[in-house]
Amino acid sequence: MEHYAAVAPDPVDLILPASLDQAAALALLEQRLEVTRGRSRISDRTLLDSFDGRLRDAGLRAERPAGRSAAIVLYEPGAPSREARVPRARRHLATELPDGALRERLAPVLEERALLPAVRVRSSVQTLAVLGAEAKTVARIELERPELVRDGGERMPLAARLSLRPVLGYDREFDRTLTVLRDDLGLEAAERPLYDAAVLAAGGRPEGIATKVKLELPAGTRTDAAAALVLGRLVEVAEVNLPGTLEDLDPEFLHDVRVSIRRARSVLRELKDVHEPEARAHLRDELKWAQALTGPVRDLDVQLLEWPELSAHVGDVRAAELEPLRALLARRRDRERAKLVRGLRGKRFRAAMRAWQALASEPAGPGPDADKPIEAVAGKRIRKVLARMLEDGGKIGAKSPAEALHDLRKRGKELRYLLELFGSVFPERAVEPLVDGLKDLQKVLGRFQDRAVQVETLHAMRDDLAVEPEGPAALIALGPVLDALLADQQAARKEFAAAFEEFGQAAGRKRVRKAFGS
Amino acid sequence: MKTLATYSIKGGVGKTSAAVNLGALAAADGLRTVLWDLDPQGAASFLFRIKPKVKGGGKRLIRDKQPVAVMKGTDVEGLDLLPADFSYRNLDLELDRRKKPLTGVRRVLAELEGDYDLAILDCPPSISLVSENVFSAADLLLVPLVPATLSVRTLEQLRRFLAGVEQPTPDVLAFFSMVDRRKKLHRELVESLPDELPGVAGVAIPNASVVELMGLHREPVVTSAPRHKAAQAYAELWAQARAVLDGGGKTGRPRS
Repeated sequence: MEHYAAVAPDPVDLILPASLDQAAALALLEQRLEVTRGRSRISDRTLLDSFDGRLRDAGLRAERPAGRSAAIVLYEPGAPSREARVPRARRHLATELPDGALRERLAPVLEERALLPAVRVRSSVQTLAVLGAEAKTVARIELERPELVRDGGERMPLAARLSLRPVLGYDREFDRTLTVLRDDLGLEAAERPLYDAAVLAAGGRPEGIATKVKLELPAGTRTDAAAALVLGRLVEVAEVNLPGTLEDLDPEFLHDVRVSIRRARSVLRELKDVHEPEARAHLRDELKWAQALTGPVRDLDVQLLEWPELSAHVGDVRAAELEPLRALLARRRDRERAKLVRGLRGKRFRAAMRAWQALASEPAGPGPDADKPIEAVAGKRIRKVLARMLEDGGKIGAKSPAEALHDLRKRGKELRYLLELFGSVFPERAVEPLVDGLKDLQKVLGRFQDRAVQVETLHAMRDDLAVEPEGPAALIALGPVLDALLADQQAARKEFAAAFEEFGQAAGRKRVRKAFGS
Repeated sequence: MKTLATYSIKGGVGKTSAAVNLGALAAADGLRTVLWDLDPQGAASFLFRIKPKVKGGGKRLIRDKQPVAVMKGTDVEGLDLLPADFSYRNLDLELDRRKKPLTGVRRVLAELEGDYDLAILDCPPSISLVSENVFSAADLLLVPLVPATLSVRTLEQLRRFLAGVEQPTPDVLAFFSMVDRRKKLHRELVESLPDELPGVAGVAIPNASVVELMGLHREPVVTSAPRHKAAQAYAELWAQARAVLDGGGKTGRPRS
């Protein structure tokens, strides 16, 4: 039996030539098609998305209509629009949205990212109904004259559009209308959706700002050139995330700055015979300092992000008793953030960024590895780090100290960055299984380490917590939280052997060893 | 998807007018709405300039459960119509032939789940197998009451009938229809009944020419004359119906 889905043809956006003003466009349509004018309106709205364009990527569109500054409306094809009353703010984290359908849909998409204003578009819109027999509406047209509204209120006209939309059950009439518009009137299809055009006109990227560093290096690339490319992309990511970090828009900005710094440090550590030694040593010192500068806020961010999970260990009643601890964490974060902002705005950090850019753009020093192909230099490092990991990990037993697992995790990070940054010059079939095995192992090691850090941080707060009003009750409630964290750390330790064995199997494969030059 | 039915044992009391106006109001609220014109006379289909014709008739619709194949978009954006067909006059017989005669309508609607938020059933006047199907499918029955003693008796009959039904039954919300404020009895009943009878909304759709002219203009009052008191009365009725459908309203009768 044939199955019908409740779908009509997709709407089509056509571009109206600049020479055709609204009156002329309407006259032309009325001359060529049986149409009747519907209402005309002004549509003034701000598009919202995360910094990395998650909503667009998920096929969602969030708008804040002008004049109704307390509302956010979310559109999704094939679903009813969702609306919530959300007072205007510089950013909206999912946790800050009111409970309801809008938050429910956005939370898993946004995760820790904030909803930010992307672009404001103000349009005059004239609707028209295309009529069939008995004056029945068989298709709909919207003539839209959009303008980009910049922050200062300055307006910039965008190409006028004609949007043809279907009416269920009238596909033939839709096609016929489209033929008239395209073939008889010569209107051309819009290359991109209106919002993409608006974001581009505003100088932004419709797809959002990617913070993942994915470089396709051609095999045979000189190591100094590869290092410059990677360091260049990393400093770009750090730079682009600084304003959001300073404005505290969401925790991911700082996280991405830190990841870039860590990766740059890794490049300098792994490719040690490429740059001029003094410049390399200086930048390594400065990046180490920058990493330390950004650490405390990130640690507290993690504690606060994991708070719901953490407080869930004690049940609802006692979770409320833990509130003084959360408040203390938040106050500490505020204090540390003030230090961070001073540091990031300070001379030393700016100089570090300049040094980073310089090393990424200037020709490398006379290091012996500078002119070797990157696959040789990176391959050697990968082999070494891998061999060391396999050796160290193999020695870890039930009674090994926690440091042994911490050290192995650090090596794992080294390997992961090497594979992520330079993996494109090696065969994918060797890189992929290794990355997969490593990810699983690092997850277990990460949990082991994170729980240790959490326990240590919370322990260290006990004295301060005790003197808070309601502090003693919070201290008592903290007991089961610490127990649960320690239990999870032990569970991670138990999972280590299996994860390491799997990683060892992936790493030990002949084709993996061969790929990196063993 | 929620289902609302405009239903009355009597004919000519304002069921179709309520169905098309509530359909337009629901669509304007952003609900993806489908109106099923179950009445073989096809008044709702006519009002929307859509031929009361379903390929293969009611028989095929109930058998194949492919409503989308025969649905049409109306002139109201967001409101689609499952048209009437003259063969619906035999729908009772068709439903009776099925293994589960009481759930044929519900099964057709189930095919629209996910694509629509609200289904509105415009029912033919009777108590028949089609009506029992509607009772089985609907979350809420909207019952127009022309203010007269007999109408109240008819509402009581309906309640008694529903009380005797074994399957879960819908909420019932009655409203006044074709109200002529010049008539004393109309004024008195509109005033007193909502307090005396549970599940009677204090909404009165006036017996206005603008409602009668819908047949000429072929457009719901709520879009052709949104400021007219009849349109405002439909808006009030929709608000009350929506509150019941959303679980926030009271009809005086708990959902079975």
